Amino acid sequence: MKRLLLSTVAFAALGAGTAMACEPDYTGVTLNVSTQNGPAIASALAAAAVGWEERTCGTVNVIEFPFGELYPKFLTAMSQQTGDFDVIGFVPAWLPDFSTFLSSMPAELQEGSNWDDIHPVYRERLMTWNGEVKSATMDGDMHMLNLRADLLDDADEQAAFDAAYGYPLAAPVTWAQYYDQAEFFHRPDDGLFGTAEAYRRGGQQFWYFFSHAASYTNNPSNPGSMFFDPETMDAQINNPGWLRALEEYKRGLDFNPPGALNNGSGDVRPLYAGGTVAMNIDWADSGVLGSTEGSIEGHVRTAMLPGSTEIWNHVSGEWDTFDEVVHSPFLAFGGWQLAVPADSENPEAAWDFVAEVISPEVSGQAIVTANSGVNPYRFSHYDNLENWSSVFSEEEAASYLGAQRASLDAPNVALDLRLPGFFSYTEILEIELSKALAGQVTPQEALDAIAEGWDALTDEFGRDTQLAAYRASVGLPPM
Amino acid sequence: MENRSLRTIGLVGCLVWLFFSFFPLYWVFVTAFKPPLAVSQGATYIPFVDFQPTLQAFRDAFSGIRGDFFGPIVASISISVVATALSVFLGAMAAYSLVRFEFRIRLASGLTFGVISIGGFVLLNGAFDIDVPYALLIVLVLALVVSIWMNKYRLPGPVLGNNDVTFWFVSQRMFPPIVSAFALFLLYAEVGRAGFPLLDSFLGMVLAYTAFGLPFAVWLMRDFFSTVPVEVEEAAQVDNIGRMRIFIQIVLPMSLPGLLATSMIVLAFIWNEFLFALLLTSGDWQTLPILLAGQQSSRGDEWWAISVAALIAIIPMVVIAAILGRMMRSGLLSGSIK
Repeated sequence: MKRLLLSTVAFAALGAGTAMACEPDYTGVTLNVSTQNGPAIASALAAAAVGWEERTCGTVNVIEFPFGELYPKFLTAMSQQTGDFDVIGFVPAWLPDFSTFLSSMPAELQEGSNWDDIHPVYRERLMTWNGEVKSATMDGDMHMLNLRADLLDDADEQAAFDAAYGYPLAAPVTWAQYYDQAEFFHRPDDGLFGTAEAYRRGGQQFWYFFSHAASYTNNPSNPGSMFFDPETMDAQINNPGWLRALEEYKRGLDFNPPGALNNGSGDVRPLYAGGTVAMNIDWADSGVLGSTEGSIEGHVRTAMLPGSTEIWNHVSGEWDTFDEVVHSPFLAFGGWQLAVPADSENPEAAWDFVAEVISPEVSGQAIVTANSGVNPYRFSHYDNLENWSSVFSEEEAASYLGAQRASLDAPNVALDLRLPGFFSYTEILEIELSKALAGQVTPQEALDAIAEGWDALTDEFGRDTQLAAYRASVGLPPM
Repeated sequence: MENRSLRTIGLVGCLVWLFFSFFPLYWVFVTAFKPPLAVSQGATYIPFVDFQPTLQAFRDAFSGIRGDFFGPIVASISISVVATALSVFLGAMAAYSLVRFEFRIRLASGLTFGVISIGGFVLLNGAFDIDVPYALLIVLVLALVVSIWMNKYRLPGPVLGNNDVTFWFVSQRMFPPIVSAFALFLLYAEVGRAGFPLLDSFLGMVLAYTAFGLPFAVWLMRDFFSTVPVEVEEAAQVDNIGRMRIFIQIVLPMSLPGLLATSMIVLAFIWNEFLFALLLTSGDWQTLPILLAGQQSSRGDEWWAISVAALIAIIPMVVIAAILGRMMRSGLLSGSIK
């Protein structure tokens, strides 16, 4: 009888036509969803829009802008309350500037298994500003070390490396080992170069520098002190930890292919995938490119960024030494996030769309879709190895996902700079960094100039305001 | 012998110049057919020899995964053609009047315009809380009427002539575009709140680009009109033909090469304009320069995609320039100035 009743209800529901199919019913609602030009991120939003439109009968209009213009475009539109956008896709560094113009995530989205499935680093830190969840991570990003199994597992290479450096050839655990391997595999006459990193101004250069610096400056004894002193807001970028990082980052030029000063992350990627370099540092894209379009298919291996046994302590003014290597993997960029501007005319539908995009099912498909630009950020993303069979071999997938999960789980994981006026700070940084890399000034001179510029900016923005924002960004309570 | 040597040197010089001119175009063209690895692993020049060409970048572009190309192409063509036509037509009228009529604008009446418009706006918007668009409309009309009325009287101070007016037109293009672009964005946003949406609209873009192109048109057309013999117009006036008819039926046809040359220059400026398009559009009327810039993403420079977008962006301009160039060379035009 019950089955008959259910069948009748189901039949009636089908007969009622499309009206019954809309859940919730957003017929007539058009969401303007904006982010950078595709395919990365925009294509993932467009793909999610198809399912959302079928489910809710609403319409999604994906609007794309150049990445370099996204920040001013969103900020001007939201500050003038033009209502142009219902959902914006942006990067966590901009959240401090955007937060006052964003609505908070509805409470019902902040509970249940889908919510708990998001890794706490994103859920509790990057999606939150001043205690409120203002955004939803739709892409997990971090710098990782990409290696090649065809070199690491080669018996002759292993023997030669052991003989030369006195320890076995394996994924580098410290930066010293990283440079040993870069030097060992640097064979320009054979068309093989030690490593590849981005050094070009405007080519994601400073994130690479930060990845080195995190290992020497993100002191676990002084949380949140990597970029600024969280008590005074004095810039820390010219301390000995940063100096060591810059000297090492610059040293890497010796093991990069010629013309590395002009390489951005877009150049670093195919250098690895094409087998020109023995390893590189990059976001998750290199691994996927290497396994799908490159000449190292089947040999992609990924590791957490190297760490250090020494970290600068800005309070004591000395190097703290550790018995074990402390890994401080750097969440460069921090991935893409979605948020709903407060001036949206359709906030409920907008948040419903956000929930669709970040749902385990939709995001689980996005992370294995070519060129979606979406990288794992949910526990379920890391657990489901089979999902990756179209991209990686089993060993590659285990290594790729394992490195990402280990990076997020690392107790001393380092978050990217998030501060009002982010672009002003990074502009000063890039100018001086480029001078140091080109040899126009010494690393210490460059860092001193950056620190001076950062302190001036902090005073300009208001030291107390910036201090409060910085402490919020690193998860410290207000002073 | 000496002549032959000079010709040879000249020819070589031309060939070198040709190479420098065409190589960037060739480079963009071949890069559009390169796979990513062929772009980043050192320079490659010749398809099928240095690298295996692929149409993947074109497929990506036309499949829509790199943004909607069709919409911006339509938007760019329609906005730039209409705005160019308006700019050149209005600019030609202004330029003609500057060539044929003597203007005497008293500085005091101009200053009166500024004082009434700025002071009136502050008063209406600040004290009486009248919305920005309405306050602007009221004070601008009032300031214009009062300043024209005052200009009839012998006010103290200097008197501005035609050259000063021309310079004022050109001076609109002297300050950085962001100064006017952001102000225009704020104005459009306010007008939108009053119920007349101009942001991301065809009308808003055409208005902005007409104002953008007008100084070029006035400046260029003024020189062209000054070469038109005034005797022709005087003969028409003897026949009791009105000024507007003289302008449209006699002066404009005689200045057609100038109109076409001006149109090409104004069109090129509007076609490639980025800042206004970025601030004033979002989804519906986004133009090609925005799409082109968007090919450089947070993932780095994807030169193959940028090259495809660049090729797509220049093709309509090449076609329009070819048509206008052909018209300029045609006997139809040469006949009008014989």
